[in-house]
Amino acid sequence: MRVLIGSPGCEFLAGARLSDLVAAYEEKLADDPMIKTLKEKTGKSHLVFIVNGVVIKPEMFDQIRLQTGDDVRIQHPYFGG
Amino acid sequence: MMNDPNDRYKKQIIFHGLGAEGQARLRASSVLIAGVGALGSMLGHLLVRAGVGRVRLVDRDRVELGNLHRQILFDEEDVAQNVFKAQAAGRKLRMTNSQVQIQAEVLEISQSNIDQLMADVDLTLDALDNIPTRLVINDAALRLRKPWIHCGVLGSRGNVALMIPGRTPCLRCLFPNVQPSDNIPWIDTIGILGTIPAFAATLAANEALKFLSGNHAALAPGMIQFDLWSNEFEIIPLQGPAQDCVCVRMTSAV
Ligand SMILES: [Zn+2]
Repeated sequence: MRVLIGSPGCEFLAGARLSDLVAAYEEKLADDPMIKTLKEKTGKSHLVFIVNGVVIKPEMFDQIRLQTGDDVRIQHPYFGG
Repeated sequence: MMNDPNDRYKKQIIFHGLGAEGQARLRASSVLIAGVGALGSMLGHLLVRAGVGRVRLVDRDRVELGNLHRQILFDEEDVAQNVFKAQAAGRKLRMTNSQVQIQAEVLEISQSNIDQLMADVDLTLDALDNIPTRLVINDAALRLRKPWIHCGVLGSRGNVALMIPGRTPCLRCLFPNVQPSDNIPWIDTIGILGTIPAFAATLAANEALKFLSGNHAALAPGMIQFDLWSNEFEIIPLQGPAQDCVCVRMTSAV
């Protein structure tokens, strides 16, 4: 049997690029009030994508192919205090 | 009773992670709390009560009514008196723990004063409300090779990350596309619950206690990120500094 501990992850087709994941996540958050406001005020969501502990710059999104077991984290910007 | 510091701290000295030795290390340590708003109030409250030996509080603003729902060191009298946050916080924290040396300074943190503010403390805690000043702290930390804890909040969400120059990513590594010009009045624009900075500052103070007491193995292995409205909490694992970040050059220079 298979037991899930923590996040079950997310299915992508073999050969998917990080840019596919980014697009899917940005679409999922399209109605998020905070992300919407950030886009309106600053022109960008400020989301940061981290693959296996490494921050990936947007210009690399299209070059990175996802592998089984990759650990992708999405970091949000919170700059209030 | 007031003369025996161990009476004050006996419940935390019993805690296995701290002990008398850890408590002594806290007493011998010093911090800068950069900003005395919601995050800074809670950080001061926790670290002064915990017995950190010297606490420097820096903020340029005065207490306003709209601060009271989340800035726990202030009250209506402070608003009526139009006092500076650093002074009001300093006065209350001295009453809380007279054994701690409190240095309250009313000033705006800038390139011209940050080195002096950070140079003689063991750890800086980011309790700011904007990007440009956070970058000032980030770059000073790299120049001085001083550790600091980034702490930021918005809405129902927050981030906390310990940054050690040369070992962990810096703020520019973590947010490579953030520019000072991206700055917006974050909380005025998005809003904030009072619980959020209290929680974020508690996490940051907790990391500070581990760091200052020498419990480095217990430190969070990455950046803590949470959303208390959607019940999410995670630690984002991070490798070292980004190889193309300015921090690598700054910390490897002789
Ligand atoms: Zn860096």
